[in-house]
Amino acid sequence: MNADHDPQVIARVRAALDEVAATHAVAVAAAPHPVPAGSGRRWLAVAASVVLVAGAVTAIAVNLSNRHSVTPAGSGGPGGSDETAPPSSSNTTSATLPYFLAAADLAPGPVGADPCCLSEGESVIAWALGGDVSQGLLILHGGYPQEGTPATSTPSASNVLIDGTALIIDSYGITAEERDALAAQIVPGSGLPWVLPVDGWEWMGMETGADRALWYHQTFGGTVLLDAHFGAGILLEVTTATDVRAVQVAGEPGWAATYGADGGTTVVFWRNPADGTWLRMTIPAALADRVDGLIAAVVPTNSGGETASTVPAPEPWVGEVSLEMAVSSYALAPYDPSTLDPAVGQSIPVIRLVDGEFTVDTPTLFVFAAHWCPHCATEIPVLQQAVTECSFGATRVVIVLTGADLDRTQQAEWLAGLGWTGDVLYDTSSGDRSPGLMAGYFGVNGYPSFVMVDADGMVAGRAMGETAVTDLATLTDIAGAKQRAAESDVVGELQIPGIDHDFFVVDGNGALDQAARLGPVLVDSALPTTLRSQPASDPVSVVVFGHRATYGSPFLRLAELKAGDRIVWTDTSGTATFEVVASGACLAATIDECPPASAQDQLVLITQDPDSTTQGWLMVTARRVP
Amino acid sequence: MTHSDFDTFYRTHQAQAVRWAVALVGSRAVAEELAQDSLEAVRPRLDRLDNPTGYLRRTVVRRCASWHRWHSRDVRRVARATAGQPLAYTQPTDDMLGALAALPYKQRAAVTLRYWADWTDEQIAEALDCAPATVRVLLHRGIATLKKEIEQ
Repeated sequence: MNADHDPQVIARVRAALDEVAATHAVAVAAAPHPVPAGSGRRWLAVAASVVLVAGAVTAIAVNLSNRHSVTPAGSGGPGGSDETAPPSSSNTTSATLPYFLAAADLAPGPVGADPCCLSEGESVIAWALGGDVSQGLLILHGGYPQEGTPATSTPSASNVLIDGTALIIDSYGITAEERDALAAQIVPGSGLPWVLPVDGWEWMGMETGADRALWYHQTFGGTVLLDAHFGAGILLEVTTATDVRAVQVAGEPGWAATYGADGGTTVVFWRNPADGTWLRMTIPAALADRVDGLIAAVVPTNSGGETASTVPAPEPWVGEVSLEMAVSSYALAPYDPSTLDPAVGQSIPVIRLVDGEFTVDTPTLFVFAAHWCPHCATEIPVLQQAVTECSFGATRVVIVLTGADLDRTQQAEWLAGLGWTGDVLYDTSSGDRSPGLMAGYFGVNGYPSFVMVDADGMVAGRAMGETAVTDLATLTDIAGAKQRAAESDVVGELQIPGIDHDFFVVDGNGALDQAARLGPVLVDSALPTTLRSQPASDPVSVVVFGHRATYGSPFLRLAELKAGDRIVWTDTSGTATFEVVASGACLAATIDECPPASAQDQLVLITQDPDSTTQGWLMVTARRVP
Repeated sequence: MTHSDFDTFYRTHQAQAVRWAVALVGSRAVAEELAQDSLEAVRPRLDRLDNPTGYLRRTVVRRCASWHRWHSRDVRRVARATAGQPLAYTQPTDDMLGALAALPYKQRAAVTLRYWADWTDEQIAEALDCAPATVRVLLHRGIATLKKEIEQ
């Protein structure tokens, strides 16, 4: 070891990383088989775990924001002028992106702008053959001072050493030999750090670690991300792809890069010829089968007449429920609008199709309808219009045709006659007008019936009869709200195996009433750092409140817990097991009046008692077990 | 490639890949995700790679670089969710993570992979697309900066 390499510093690095490595990530299971990206459950877990990295990432955030001020980036001129930051894409204050995703079912979100750039010392420069990136794209990156010779070339890139600087050259659309020949002609420039003086190869933008860039981004349907970066740094993403193919985006040549195995995330890159901006669209694995359709739906923002309705909507999905549905384990209770719905918060029964299972991994509204029902005939055109206008956000709407005594073709004609162009699921039929198996398992008691299911496959709400779009939007937003909460404020996961409870717990943030409508909330304002190795003089406890009979009834069965039952709490600092020691009532108007959880290493769960009242509280106290 | 080839590779490399990513991003949760993605990237080409472990090293290093570059959205979300809350780690660890995060990525990679993940200079050089001599320069500069940082 070199004497310069201070053993004290190294010991500190080791100690810090040892502590990080010993911290278990929440709910990200080490699966023996890689879990396919896009599974809803995993997505939520990822969202939660990203949120739960607290300290470390905050430190990085502070660091980044200190280093870069919010100033639009220059993209430089192709002529190699000495201007290092000419604001060719100058009007960066307007809140629009140069392109828009006009997909009928994906509602646009607001445009955000944040500072972002490459790390210090890095450079990216792009050139294209004849200015057409699909004919040949050369991306230079790296640029650290180098001693000795560069490492051997890898299959996907060449390494070159120019003027004492090691550079990596990736290429698309040309052979490795052509790339090597071009790489050999790159020379240091004056205004631009590197120049490719080869006829036909045009400069397509650059970015250096010293550039200050604004990063613009907008999501569509909450899932597809469109972003623009006024520099070529965005192209670094393409160099890590597993598969790259040429595509046309809004008439411009570009590349579609896929990450991971089949059906992984797809990232599409192209360049706005008007201002040299590089654009990127990130399509999650869940929409992998719609990549081409989404690329076709990209239009220039100022394209005038072109609107969402001119872009072909995706092909509707059609499925058929199998008689196998009858072996499902349980059914939702029949829907009764006069009482609290016990199905809310329950997992939906497994939906068995003739060709597999229907997996709910995005918020989905099932609409049960029958071809002979006049209320359905009134409701469906209303639904179609709401879907076209994106009234339900990212919620997928599936019409389940049930109670049918017509064949599928006749039912499809009936639905088409009402103008429905979305997804359809044919329920089983016994030839008369009795409900099919799926309707039965979902507790459908009349038509039309609505069952809103969240991304975790849990019922978020049900409704019946002709229902106004505004009311349905409230129903569909329950899942959305829950998902947003999971994304932003999760502080831990609570598992109570004895009564089948498993929740992400959100932070009450001082607004307990609001927060508790989304799921169990942490009452303590401090993060439950109980589970870290604490000095014994520092008593900390975890107090969680959840509704008992409303808002998803998270603590519906809390009263069933008895002494000795296990509760598992997981947060950013690890997992701890607790054992119930007592369960009792507290008669008081507010939780604050109940005896506080003062003992060290204690977990307290609170819900209303009796059900759905505020007369008193049920408190379950548990003590940590080693 | 058969399923069992990849299974074996996965089983023998998963924990290591997570460790490498922890070194590079300073978060166990993020590291598990990035390691998983990197392992996924090996799967379709396992039978064509002479040195799949080397490829995995390179992929982890690249993915983590990419995460540093484009994770600003997550950072904002985390900053919002954790504002005013106690640190997730002990103070010395939190300080060190901050100091590591302030290093240029290649310096950070060189320091943490060399002294914590126990890679050789040659392995680091291959993953960072540079010469072993450069790795020694990166180590020298990285340690010097950290030393200055913790003495403050």
